[in-house]
Amino acid sequence: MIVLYLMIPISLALGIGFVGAFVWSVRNGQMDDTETPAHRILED
Amino acid sequence: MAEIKAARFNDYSFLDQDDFRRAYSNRGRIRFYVDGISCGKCVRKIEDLALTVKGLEDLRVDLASHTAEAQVDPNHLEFSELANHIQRLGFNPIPLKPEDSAEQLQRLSDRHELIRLAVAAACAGNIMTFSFATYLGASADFASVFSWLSFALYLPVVFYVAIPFYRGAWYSLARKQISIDLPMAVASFSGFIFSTIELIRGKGDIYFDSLSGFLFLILLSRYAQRRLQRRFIRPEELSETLQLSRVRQVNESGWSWTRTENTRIGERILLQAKETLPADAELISSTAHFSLAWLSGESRPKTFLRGAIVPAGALLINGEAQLAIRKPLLDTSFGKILKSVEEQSVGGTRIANLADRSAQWLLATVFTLAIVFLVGYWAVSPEEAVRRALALIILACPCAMAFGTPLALAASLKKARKKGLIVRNADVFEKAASVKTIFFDKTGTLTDSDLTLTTPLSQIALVHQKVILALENESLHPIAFAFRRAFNEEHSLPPVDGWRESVGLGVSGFVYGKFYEVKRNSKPGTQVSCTLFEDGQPILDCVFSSILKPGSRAALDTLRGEGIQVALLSGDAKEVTENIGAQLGFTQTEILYECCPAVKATEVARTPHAMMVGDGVNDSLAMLRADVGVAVSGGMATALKAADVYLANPSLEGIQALIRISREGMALIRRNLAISVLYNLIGGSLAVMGFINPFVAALLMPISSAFILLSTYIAERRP
Repeated sequence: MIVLYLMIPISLALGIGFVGAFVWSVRNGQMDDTETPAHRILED
Repeated sequence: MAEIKAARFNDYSFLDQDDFRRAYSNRGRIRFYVDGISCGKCVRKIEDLALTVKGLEDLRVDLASHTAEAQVDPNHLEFSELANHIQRLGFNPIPLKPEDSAEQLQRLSDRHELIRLAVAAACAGNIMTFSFATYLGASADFASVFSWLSFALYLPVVFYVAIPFYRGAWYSLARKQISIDLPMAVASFSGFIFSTIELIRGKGDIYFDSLSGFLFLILLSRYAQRRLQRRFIRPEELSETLQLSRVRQVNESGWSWTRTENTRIGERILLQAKETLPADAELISSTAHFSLAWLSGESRPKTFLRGAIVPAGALLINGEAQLAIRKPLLDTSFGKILKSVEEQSVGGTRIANLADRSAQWLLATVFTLAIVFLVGYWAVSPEEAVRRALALIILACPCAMAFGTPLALAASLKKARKKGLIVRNADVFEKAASVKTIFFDKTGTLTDSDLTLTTPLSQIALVHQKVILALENESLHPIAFAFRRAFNEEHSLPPVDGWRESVGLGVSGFVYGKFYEVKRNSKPGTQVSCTLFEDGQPILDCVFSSILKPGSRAALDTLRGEGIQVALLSGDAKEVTENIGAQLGFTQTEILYECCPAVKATEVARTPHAMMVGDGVNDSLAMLRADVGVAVSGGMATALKAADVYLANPSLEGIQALIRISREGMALIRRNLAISVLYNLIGGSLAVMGFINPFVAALLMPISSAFILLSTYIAERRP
């Protein structure tokens, strides 16, 4: 079970990484318009 | 259709002048509000311009706000050319001023909420995993590590995620009210303190998982509601969408575009067809026909002669007119209407909605109970008193309630959108559910504003077209306008001798030596038609599309059947209004004719539980004063300035749907509330009796949320 001491920091680091990636995408405006791109891909 | 027709007249050359360019664009970027974008096809059509138009570097359409933003290389493309390109696709672009700071703030706050939600999800998810490991029997060493990890992960929750709740609680206290945010704030903070003390003392009453879980759920449901409420471009100033900010100023070499605010009294301006006059002005041309629908509500055009003062807001029907400015827009009665509409739509007070009010009751009860219990049990055991009182607050914390209402509203918004109803604010549902009287505007709402000739042109010989045009040339009857629109106006018209117009019947006169008459047929039914007579012999029938909008009668009858009072308001004359009213089954007392916008507004305002269904522009004032304002036509941005709901599909069935959706939505909110009251009763008694520990709380809270979700889901599935 000692391996948990390794796994937990890794999982937390991964979690923080994903939250960070999401924050980056929001700041970039990727979530501002969630409607139009869905239509755009259908019409291309 | 009317908008597209009008678009043909739009002249965008003003966009290329320096003063306008400065006002509307920023380093080659320009935004348009594009009326008529409704689907992916439109997006594609417009965005494809970037492939073919030289100098257009980028063009992005935002479907939700109906805007298109372009990046233009000024060396190769003028803004006016871009606007004309969009216009040629059949849309009506209106240039928008660049975002102001308030709007930027709004967008930033949207983004912040999303980030907050993401942090809440990540923390709550991880905390739950750690605490469940503890509940399921992790060894003491690990349990302690997991608890401390939960503590660490709860820190961002209590100090970042929960901030909106603290703020909401503070605002509500400042207004001496209890809002749903208050117990959330108290629970998340006192729960944090209590759990931390327990953690340090090595005890087990740690509520981090439940607390972060419900904070996340509530943020999620609030975000869903916010996302589903139509996101708009900034509430456009009406004067902007009516394009009153620019005017053609007459000078030696013809005319040039000028900003209206720079014009002076006495200066001459030129107005073209379908343009709105931005000032009170004296007519210099010999005659001109204006529609004063904005001011009087009457749709029939009025003729002005040289020297007459034409009021601001008058819409030039056809041709061109030169005028001299007498009074600037802000001092005119039209300017005052615009201003009051703008002020009221910004400063409207929000009425606390049903859920808030019932929630206040429940909250007050829970808090009183908790305090009474705390005081009463203090003598028995202070520690146990605090523990149970806190368990009561955390558990009874209106999780289910705070979560059930936004979810129900989101479901209603979704349903409304499927029916083509664009709802500005979910508060509308509560008010629409209790509507008792619906006022309808006549023109443009129950009837079409324009008649359209439906007889194919191929069936009407060219010579007859000329005769009809010559006879109808002077007439201002809607039929005459329909003919002028249908036939090519470029004909050189033959002269007419002995011309006569009998009002409401028709016109007659000698053309090419023969006696012609165009007579209105008084056949029953809703179709309008007229017949051309040559020397007394009928030779040609012309049929126009029906005046009544299809389905109006059926929709009205359904509403009557549901016990809703309907009434007809019109600026038109008595006979016209009564004629239409009779066809739609209105009784004498339900018809009000010759009312100007102010009278309509007063009438609506003094009726409780009133809904006003009207035209996007003419009825703005009445729509604002009504409990619920519904716009059926006019540009969406303009309409939603004053109305709460916009019917994208201009059929009155939408009204029925709105009322049904609202009633169902309210029923759902009540059901969700009932579930949460029941849950609170059970949970509250358990908490007071001391049966609640973190594990039970962690089990109970998802159960109640699951019930609410299920109840909402079932209601949403119902068509």
